[in-house]
Amino acid sequence: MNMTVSRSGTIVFGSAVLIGAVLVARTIPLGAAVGRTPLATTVALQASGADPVARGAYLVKSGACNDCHTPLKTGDNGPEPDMTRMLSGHPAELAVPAVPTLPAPWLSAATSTLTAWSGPWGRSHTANLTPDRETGLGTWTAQQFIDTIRNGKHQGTGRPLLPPMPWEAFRHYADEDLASMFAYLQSIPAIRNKVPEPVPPPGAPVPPPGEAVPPPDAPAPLTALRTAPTHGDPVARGKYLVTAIGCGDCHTPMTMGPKGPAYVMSRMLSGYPSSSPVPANPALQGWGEFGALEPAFAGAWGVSFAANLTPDAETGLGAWTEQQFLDTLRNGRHQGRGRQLLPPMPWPAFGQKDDADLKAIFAYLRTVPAVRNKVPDPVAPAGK
Amino acid sequence: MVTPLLGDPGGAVPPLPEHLRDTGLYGDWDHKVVAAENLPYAPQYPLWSDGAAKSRWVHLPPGTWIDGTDADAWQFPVGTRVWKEFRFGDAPAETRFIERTPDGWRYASYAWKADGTDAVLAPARGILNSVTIGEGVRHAIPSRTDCTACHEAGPTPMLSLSALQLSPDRDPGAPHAEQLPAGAVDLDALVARGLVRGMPDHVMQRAPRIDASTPTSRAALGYLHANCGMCHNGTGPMASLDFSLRYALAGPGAPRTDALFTTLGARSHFKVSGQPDQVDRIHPGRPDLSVLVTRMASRHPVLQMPPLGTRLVDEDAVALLRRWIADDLRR
Repeated sequence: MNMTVSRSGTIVFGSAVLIGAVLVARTIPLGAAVGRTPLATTVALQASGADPVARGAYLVKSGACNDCHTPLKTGDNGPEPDMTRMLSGHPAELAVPAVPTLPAPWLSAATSTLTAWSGPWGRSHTANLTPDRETGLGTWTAQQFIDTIRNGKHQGTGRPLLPPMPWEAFRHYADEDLASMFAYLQSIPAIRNKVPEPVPPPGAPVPPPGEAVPPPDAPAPLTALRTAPTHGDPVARGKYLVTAIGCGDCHTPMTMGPKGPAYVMSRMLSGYPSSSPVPANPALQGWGEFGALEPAFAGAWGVSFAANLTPDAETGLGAWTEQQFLDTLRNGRHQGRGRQLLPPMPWPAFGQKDDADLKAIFAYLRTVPAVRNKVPDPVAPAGK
Repeated sequence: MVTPLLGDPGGAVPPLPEHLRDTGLYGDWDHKVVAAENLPYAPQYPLWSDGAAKSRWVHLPPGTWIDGTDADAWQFPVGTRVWKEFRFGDAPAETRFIERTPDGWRYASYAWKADGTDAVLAPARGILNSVTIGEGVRHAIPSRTDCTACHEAGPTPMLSLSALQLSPDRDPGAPHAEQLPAGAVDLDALVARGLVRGMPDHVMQRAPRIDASTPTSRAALGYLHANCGMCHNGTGPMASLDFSLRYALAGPGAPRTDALFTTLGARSHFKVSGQPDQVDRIHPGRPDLSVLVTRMASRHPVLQMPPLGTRLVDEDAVALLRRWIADDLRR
């Protein structure tokens, strides 16, 4: 559940007209495809004895893709993913409430399934990642998958991916990791589910057919890695993981810049600012999760705040041990055995990362600038 | 005969049985008669479990014994099994199961059907709302990670099988003190049967007990040991908190009691929202200013202590702790 308000800020807020670009076919010269042939990368993985499907399964399951792409169902035992619909995206038959008007500071709302997301971009729906040929990725190539993530565009050249899809973080994954994810996605059960098209925000102008649409801003330049850093350098490996997984998307506050939301880099990974007020839970009917630019999140659990992951001794992880960090993600409890971590923190997914990866993440977090910031305690639901 | 769950020596450990009846607890499932080789026991300081009536049994494979060399951290042989039944009212709600396999310890919980005819393995994520235990309150069957949160935070996963907890010198002031069940083994019985070996002289010579100046203090320290010491100790993953409530049966000449040294007048890292005057874990003579009591007396998800395992405040224990701090811990 990598909840963000808006990851592709430059596209969303450049112009509401861009929503119309969803409907306009665009072509890009083949030579502009990003990255190398993933087939070569996959072959190299197999030659090394590594199984791309197994590696992809690890990356997808521990990378929290299920948190948005598999509908959440809520029962007497609390919310859990509906694995009969694994990775098939927003259920086509599910009615979604009208886009709500949210009180400040809330900017986005998600359905309780976490598959439909509403915000300044309008409404988006999580994609069907299964290999169904009609409604999923069954006819895609690995290169198209990689280009989608790298460029933030459908099949690499089409309509922009909309929030909350964290493509701007995921594009930092190495070729081999993206190719492995695709290999795994092609191996899972195909589920027929035609995810609805995005819905523009109310009042968005749509250009007449055939009229040129200004291209969105290009994403920041990236030197894509062919292979992921190894554990030989845990800090480098940890930096790669933290960057590609997108921890900063929730744990770093954002502000609204001229081109849309932008990270407050001086507060990188330091969580919800202590100087900001504690917002009230909007608790709107029909919507399950609310988000804001500064990382507060509201839902049935009350209001939660992204933690300070910097090594400040008083307010961050500076006094934590490596084992407490691992136990936190494995047990879903503060320091491994304290209060529960609240949504949207995707600990059930991240806790599936192996020891070496979690240790590398912790090793990297020890090196980022320490920011003194006492994140507020979560607010329990009314009546508790 | 206890069902061999571990399979052939050297073979793969078989999966957890789906039904409690296949775990080897019962000799006669139809009449719910526990097999004779599973020994009942009852710790002198029981864990607070929302008022559940509890029964416990331990099984050691024939020819094996507990290594009691470290009186505070017994080491159990491969094949050890422990069961703990929780009852609310007349019916069992849950039976927890811990087993030491060649691959390590594993934990499970079996949820009883309302008619008592079966108890089925609960899912790994637990059952958030099982039987009703109070007004609008339902019992939570823990997830497997919640099991490890408590059982793998100290020197041994066995929390109530210890020299102190099974001492024949039982504290009459222990909150929720339990009668020994028929046929129960205590420390003396285990030693006599050769089921605990190697214990240090100071434990063998005198029945272990909490060393305290008053009965209130003895009961309070025992309660904290049993309910908090599994996480709050000086050896496990939470040792960095420097906040130990685990009672050590140290030998002659042992220094201070950690539970007092790390709490009395010690600053609390945790800040109670809206209560800036609560700064100490235990403030001498002032339970109202003691963060430890404030947290024990709450079931607010951020404030409560312990953070898991119960839905209701242990009012008797909170009263005991208040009395202890007010009367025995004045400076």
